Amino acid sequence: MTTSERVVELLNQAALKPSDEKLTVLKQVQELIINKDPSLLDNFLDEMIAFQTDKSIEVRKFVIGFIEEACKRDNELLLRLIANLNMLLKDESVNVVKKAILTLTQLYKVTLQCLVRSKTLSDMQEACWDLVTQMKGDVLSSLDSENDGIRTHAIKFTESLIITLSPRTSDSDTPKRQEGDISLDKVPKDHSYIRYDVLCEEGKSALDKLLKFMVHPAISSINLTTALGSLATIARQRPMFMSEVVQAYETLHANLPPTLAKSQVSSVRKNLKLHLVAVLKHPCSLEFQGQISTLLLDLGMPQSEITRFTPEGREQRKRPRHEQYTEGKKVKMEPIEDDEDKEEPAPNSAPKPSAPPVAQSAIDVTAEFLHPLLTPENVANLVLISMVYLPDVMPASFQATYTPVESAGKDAQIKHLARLMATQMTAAGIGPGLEQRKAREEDVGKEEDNDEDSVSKDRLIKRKLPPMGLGQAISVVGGYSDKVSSDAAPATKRLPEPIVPTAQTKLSAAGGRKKVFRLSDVVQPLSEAQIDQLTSKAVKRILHSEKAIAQSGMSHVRVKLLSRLVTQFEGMMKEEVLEFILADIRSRSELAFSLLYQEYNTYLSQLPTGLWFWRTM
Amino acid sequence: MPSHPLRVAVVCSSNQNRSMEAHNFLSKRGFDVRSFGTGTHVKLPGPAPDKPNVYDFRTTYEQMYSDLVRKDKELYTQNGILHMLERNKRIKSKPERFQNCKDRFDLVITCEERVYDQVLEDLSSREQETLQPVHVINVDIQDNHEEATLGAFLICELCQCIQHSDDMENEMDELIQEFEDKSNRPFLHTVCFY
Repeated sequence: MTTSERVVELLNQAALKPSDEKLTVLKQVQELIINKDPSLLDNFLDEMIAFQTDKSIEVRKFVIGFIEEACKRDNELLLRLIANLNMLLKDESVNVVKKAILTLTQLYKVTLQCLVRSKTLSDMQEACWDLVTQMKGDVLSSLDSENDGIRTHAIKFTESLIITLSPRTSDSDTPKRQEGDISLDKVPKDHSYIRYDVLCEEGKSALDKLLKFMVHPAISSINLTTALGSLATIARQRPMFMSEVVQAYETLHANLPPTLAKSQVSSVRKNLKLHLVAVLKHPCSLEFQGQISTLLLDLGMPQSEITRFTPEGREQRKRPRHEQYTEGKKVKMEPIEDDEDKEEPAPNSAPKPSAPPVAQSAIDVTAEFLHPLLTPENVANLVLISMVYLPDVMPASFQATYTPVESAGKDAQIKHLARLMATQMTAAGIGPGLEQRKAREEDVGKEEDNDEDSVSKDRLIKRKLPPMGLGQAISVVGGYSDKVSSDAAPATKRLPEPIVPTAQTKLSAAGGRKKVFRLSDVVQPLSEAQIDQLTSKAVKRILHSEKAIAQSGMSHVRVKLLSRLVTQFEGMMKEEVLEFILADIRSRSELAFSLLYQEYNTYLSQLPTGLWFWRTM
Repeated sequence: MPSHPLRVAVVCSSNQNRSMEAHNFLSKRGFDVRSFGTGTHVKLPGPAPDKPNVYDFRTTYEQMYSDLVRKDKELYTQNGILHMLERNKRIKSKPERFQNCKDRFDLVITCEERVYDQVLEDLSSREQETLQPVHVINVDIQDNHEEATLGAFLICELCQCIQHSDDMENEMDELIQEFEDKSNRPFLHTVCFY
């Protein structure tokens, strides 16, 4: 039997078998037509792809995997299969969508690589690129998906996109498996259809999106963990983004999302430590060593270990410091912090790049403003004032994560404190740094009308925190934000995303984006007029149901009910009922007598008790 | 129902007590489960706390059994070690080291924070290939027979809940919070990528 005949036989079997066996058979077919005899791939492509509408999720996932392998084996198949992948990206099953996102992560690179080989593209190739770009946009927007798993996969896609759409440099620490992958430096600047500058901007905007996503106040712990890992990978492979990454880590460390449960905070901090070490090990982390070391010290890592992970000093670096990533928008440069704990006398006086003076970020300016103000007296006063806001008992969670401040009072620690305060102040929207930035933006806006660069020179990361209300505990260095007191609840309602107040922290931590249902929120008391209206309608319905109730034999119940209702509540429906009775007194006489009887009873019960004797007589 | 059976790995330090107890329970309930240790060597209690019996990971349970019988049968019968080794022998021939296993799992459960750290370190050091996620959960279990049994029950229940959830990744957070509250133990949870 030839391979072709065998494939035909297997495909026929697959059409008839149940899901589990179908999968086994299809895997065999894949092995035959992709690896053993790739010439058959074209012949049987349609038959294999037909399984994308199979009922079984596993079979549909298999088809996605097959598309990936087929396109890698023969790039031309991309043009035919990309639309199928697009359909599967919108599948109803979450697991299929997730698999499709992972495949797109690989195939985006393959498509780009394939299409930049030739300077001009055919119509089909252009259509393919347009579709891939659209799919890329769809996946990026699924960072806002309701589903946690999809968001996680979208983060991984974004990580890969950022790395692909930025140039590889000599400092890039590229894993061996990805050596052959395409990156922006391999894209020709004069391609007829694929624009280099557009791709560059897309890469940066993807990074912005990721950074914004990370500061979402209700981000789940898994998404946060994934994002932390992605940032570390980006920093190692694209050192030009290291300053944004380090700043994101700093901001996160000072502003952990309030929705995380205690154990989730521990998990996130552990991850943060792991990834900070990964970044620290990279040679380009030299200028950020101070900040990274301080963060690691806060997270409880001993100085000896930090030193162990710190790479060798400048004497090893033979090439000058890498050029700033100046294409497109300008990137701010982090000032090198003097760290007294550094053992090697790193020659910080090495010449800075002679690029035009780069604007400092708002955080830097505010930090510099705060630094001289943090005298022992001021700090003592601040502590005294904030002690009023602290809870009476140290929460167990704080106790667990608290690490005593090392080298308290030293210049490095004061600088770090100034920086932490500046980060929080900038996030809350106050501080000289922000004011300066606004003034700068206005100036720049006047100079350059349509230039996109004027929008924001700073990659400022903001977390939409509620403004500090009375009684709200202030977050402490090394710990995470204490629970928001219920006084802050009215403030939180103004935010677009619901942040659940303290009493329901447990539930909110579980759901991340879930809101707790409180009946009193959605229910309002009725007005007098509404009550009257409803009562009158109810009584009328009972009145008019005479015939129906007579049929069921419950008239005596109805009569009793009506007469009691009318006489009990200050007789508010009396006129209506009387009118009803008089309309047909012959048949409604029973109701009339019952009403009279009830009225008499009520009259008697209202008499003084002395007359009770007469009643019983 | 989820689309495919969960591939679970249970990890402790020596792949003798906690992970094997859980391995036993889970495989009896039909799970696709494997167990591992993360230590550099396998350690079994010895005559004194500072004199453990140390073996290489390549040593089989049978060899460890024979060795301990030869050394002091009565002691090791009394403290349940021989019984434990007999159970382990029935499940697999020798302990396995997590760092040496290149298989992929959907869920890795560790029995101690130190082990959790070692697993994370190992997974993060691997080059990412398919970006397939694996969830790592830590449940603190003390290293004695009673706690290992209780821990195994807990792990089994957790795996069953995860297996029965419609969308494991979306419901994981909530599940873990519930288990934390029920068992009154802190759980650690993270995700790594293959």
